[in-house]
Amino acid sequence: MDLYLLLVSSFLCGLLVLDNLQFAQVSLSRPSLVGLLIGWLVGSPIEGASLGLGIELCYSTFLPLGGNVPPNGAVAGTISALVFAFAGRYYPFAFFAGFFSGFLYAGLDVKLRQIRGEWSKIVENEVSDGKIRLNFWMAKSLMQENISAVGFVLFFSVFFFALAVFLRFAFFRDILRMAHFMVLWAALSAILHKFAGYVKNDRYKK
Amino acid sequence: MIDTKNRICLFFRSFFIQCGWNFEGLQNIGFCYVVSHWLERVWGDEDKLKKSFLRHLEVFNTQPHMSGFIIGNVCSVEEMLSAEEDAARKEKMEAGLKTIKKALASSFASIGDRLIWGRIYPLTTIVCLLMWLGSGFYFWLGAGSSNSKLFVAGGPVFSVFIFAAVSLYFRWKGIGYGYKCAGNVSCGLDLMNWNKTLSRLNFAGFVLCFLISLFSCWEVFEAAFASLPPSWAIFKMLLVVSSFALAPVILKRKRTFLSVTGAVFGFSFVAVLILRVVGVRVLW
Repeated sequence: MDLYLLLVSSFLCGLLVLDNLQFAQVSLSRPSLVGLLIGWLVGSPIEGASLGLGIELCYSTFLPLGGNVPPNGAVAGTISALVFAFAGRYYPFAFFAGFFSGFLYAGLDVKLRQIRGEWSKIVENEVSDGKIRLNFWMAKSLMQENISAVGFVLFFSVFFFALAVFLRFAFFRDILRMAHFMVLWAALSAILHKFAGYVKNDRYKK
Repeated sequence: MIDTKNRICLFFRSFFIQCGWNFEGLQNIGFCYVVSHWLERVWGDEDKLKKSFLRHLEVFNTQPHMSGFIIGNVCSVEEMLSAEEDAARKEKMEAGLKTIKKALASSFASIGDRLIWGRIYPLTTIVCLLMWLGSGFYFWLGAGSSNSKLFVAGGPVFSVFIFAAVSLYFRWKGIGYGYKCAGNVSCGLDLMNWNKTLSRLNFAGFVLCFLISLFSCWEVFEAAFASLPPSWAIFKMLLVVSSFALAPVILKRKRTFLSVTGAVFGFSFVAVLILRVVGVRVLW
């Protein structure tokens, strides 16, 4: 495992994750692109991209509507690419490492948003007192997410590298392989049925 | 008509509309930041500026790519408000501004969520998949091999390009359109036939997904029967069929895809355990 590459990848993820919510939202944080970029950094761009697209398909049923916090694609794409490159190059294991990491980060994201709720009150009080420094709060919010994502990726990458010791057991590998194969088909089916439902509703409205 | 320099300023600031997103005020901090430069420009008096900032720190949430319509409209109304001399009319306009923000925010949240997150985003994923399948890369299905690295790398980049083009278009267009509306509570809702657009995207998404599913099934079928013993090839195809059937059954019960993954893991564990117990080596 190259520590330098791990650090650089984490920092790159920290930047890309900002596109998920706080900046632009032009889908730079989509798992397929993040997997491609991080994969390219660690020497496996094709595997990174395909891991990312698989995760993207699975996450497509989770929409960021209202206060709903979907699983984080940027973190998922990063961890899957890193785990593939540095922990046995076993595709299904890397896929699920990324897949579940996205959900774990969503839990952290909820906490971050709750913290920012306290900031919202502080900003209002400051403005009432004539102290307008929105740039400071914007920068603080971006730094908060950036640092959280970097720390999360570093911690859980190492966690999954350690978990990769179970890959020596064929039983574990077989379960992962079968589950990975089925999950991607299930994801494709979920999208197909989603659009089928939309088309059915359109016909019903007519 | 809004001048280009201010429009560009609002456009780039609108990228931060979700910065500081929180459960208390939702997009309040971000929205206030977006319009802050404009407010500083139109309100000379410090107290009135403070009051205008507090107005925009109230709870606000909309689809971020559609926020341009609300931003432009709000800026236009704030400009008119700052030029208004009559106190009674000013109070009426302030109350009207709240109504405009609320009405447009919820309208564009509904349109934007359905359009951008519900259709455009998954469609761009499908486009990437299509590019890969078209270039012979179906490694993600456990069959075939990668042929063109350029297409594989280009797939995600092209998806991002399409999504970014659509999102940036609505952001830019919305600001100009919203500014011209100047207080109209149904601003931008007539920009296009939203329902017709959604219908077309629905149909396109369904057809593309169906073709990808069909093609992928065929590829896995061919690869399985070419490389595995017939019993294992049939088992693999049964896995495909059962996965296809499993997802909608679970999702229809208002469960998330995480439940589908859990079911898949459970099935895989039991299947592999049984195969090991009866002494059958798992072939793939």
